[in-house]
Amino acid sequence: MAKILIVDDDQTIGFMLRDILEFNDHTVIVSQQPRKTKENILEHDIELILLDKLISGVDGTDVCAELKQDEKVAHVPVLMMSALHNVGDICRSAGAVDFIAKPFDMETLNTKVSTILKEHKPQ
Amino acid sequence: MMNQDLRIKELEQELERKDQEIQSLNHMNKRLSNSIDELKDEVYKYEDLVHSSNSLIAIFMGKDYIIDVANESIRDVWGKGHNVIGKPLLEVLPELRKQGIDDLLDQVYNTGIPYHADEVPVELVINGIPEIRYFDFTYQPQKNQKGEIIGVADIATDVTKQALLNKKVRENEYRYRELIHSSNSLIAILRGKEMVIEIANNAIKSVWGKGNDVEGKPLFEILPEMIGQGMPELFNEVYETGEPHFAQEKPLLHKKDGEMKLGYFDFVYQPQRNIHNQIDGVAVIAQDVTQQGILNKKVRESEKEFRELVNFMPHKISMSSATGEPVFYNNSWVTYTGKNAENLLENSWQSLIHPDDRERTEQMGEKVLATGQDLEMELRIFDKNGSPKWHLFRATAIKNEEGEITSWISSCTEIHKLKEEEQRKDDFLKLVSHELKTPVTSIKGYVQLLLSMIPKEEEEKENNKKLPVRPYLNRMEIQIERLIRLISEMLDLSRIEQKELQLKKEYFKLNEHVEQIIEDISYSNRDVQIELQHQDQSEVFADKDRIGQVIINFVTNALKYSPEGNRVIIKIFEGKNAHVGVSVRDFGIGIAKKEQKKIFKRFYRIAGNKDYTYAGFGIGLYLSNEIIKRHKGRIYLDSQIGKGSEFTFTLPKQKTK
Repeated sequence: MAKILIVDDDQTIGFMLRDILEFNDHTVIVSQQPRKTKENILEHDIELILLDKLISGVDGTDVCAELKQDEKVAHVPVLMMSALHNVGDICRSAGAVDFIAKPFDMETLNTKVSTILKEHKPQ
Repeated sequence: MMNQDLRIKELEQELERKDQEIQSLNHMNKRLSNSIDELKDEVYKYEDLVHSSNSLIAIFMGKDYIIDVANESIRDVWGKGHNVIGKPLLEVLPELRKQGIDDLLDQVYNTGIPYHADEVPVELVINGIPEIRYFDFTYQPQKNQKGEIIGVADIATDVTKQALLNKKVRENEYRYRELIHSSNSLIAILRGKEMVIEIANNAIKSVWGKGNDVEGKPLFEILPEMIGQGMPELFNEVYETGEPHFAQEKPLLHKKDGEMKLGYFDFVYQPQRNIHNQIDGVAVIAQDVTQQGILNKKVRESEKEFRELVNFMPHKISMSSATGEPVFYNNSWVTYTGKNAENLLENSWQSLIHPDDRERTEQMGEKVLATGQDLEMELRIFDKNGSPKWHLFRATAIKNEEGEITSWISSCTEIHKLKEEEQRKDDFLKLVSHELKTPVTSIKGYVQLLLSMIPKEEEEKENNKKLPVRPYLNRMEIQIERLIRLISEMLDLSRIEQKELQLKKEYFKLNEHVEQIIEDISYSNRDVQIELQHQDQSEVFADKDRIGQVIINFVTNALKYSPEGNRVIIKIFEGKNAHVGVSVRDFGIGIAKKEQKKIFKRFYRIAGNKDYTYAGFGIGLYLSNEIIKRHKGRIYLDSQIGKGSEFTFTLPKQKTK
């Protein structure tokens, strides 16, 4: 299926997401270091990023915007997550393709992930 | 011859003697005629005197009092002419008879003792008009040479003018004394440096309690108890300086009925001057205001108690005029602000308040001044170090018997610590709910993952009936959902408290959204019966998730409080003024009238029958209300105990400013 990078400082969520996505046959890498996102994308040939909005003091939207400015990684779709419900617009304007509010339904997550992957299939 | 010669001699001697006699007679005759002339002169002189005199002179002769002499002055008074001479007095002036004048004349005539009287009123008929005249007069008996009484002389003076004047003076004085005596005011007139009581009216005598017999005695001789109370000094000052002294509600100990009593008096000591403008006494005009004085004393005491009470209180208490101008600040204000009371009153009250709260306070102030309602609000007040502290400010109008506002009383209670505690609590609540979210999210994920791992066909197998994993996981999921909802409510609550609740408004189709929600609810509550009535098809501009939250809250409440049935009717209808309404009706236990207003308060929960309490934090309706308020909509409740409730909210369909 796809190679997915999860960036979340909360291990519990990270592992839970990994378990769900792996169950759906994806390859998952979990990172707690937002600053290493670019490195991770390049190193693991990532196809989708699940990025938490607030990661130990770093704003996920900044990380996202930074990625979108780098040609090498800008093409990788970013799905942002937050415990706040009303930050979707902010995330989208930072370049995220979609936004999912925590706590989410597994079904919603799977749907969003597969939709994004379908839309961003490498040509 | 001898005899002849002797005879001749004798005759000659006789002739000589006769000659001498004649000579002496002639001489006598001359003297007599001289004497008559003198007498005549004398009579003329007296007659002239009598007739020219201003005194009224008449002589009445004999028992019939024949007018022998009546000078012009007396005839003028009688109003008679010269022809009265020779007529009896009582014939000329018959009116005298009934006034007893005839008796008086008789008395003088018979006894020979002169009679004198002053200012005797006599009625005379002058030109036919009776008139009272006053006379000083003397009736003088007239005697002949032998000392026999032959008549009465009347020497009188007309003192009518003077008598009338005296009468007037006497009347005035009488009236003046009468006035003094009948007055309720306490009046006394004191003469001389010794303050001898000349007049003391009954009122003052009764206060003095020294009986009626005080006139002529020095004041301080009869009132020794006044000596120690500074009164003689006061009198002396008035007497010496001529300046009147005024006093109000002066407390004085006076002896009454043998007992010393405290009285209160308003009084004036007025210097009295004689016609030479020299001070010769002091008039006292006083009012016994003991009752009023005691009352005022009580009022003063009560006010003092009130002020002490107000100053003792830790609250900041202030009083304002009817128009809101501060007139009093208690000690707590002084201590807190470090400014003295005068400073506080001089400076504007606005300067005490944090600039961010001033406008709000002024607006609220104007509103309550206009309506007379009580005021309650929170604001920050600068302390003496200039740091703002939160206070609960309350004000209430004081009204008189006519219901008019006479003043305002305000209290400020420091709630800074409370506010800080509340902030900490809110922060903690936020942290807790946030922290809980992660594990719950994780659990939910795994439950869902587990559910998806169980192949549907496996469930039918005998093995799974012994191990009902899916239904158990389903139950877990429902409880997790509930947990998530509770956590979300807690988070929302702290957001509202910290004014962080932001709405994400968009246009969406309300009817579809409601249908979706009902579907979701019905999915997890299999035996409920939810009817949806579309009376209006509406698109609204609102926060879709938040409006959904309100509907879910209404429906879950409806189900929660309908223990014996699960019928719920949801209606979407068109409201007034381009509003759309959504109502949720249940047929459950209903809400008592007294509780209907309270249920929108946070943490308020209705206790059901038999101490059965319904689950929840009691913040669902509070949140719903806050959400609808932020959409400029309204929430309504119609409920009857035992018949069920209908919760309704309305929303403006279009964007609002």
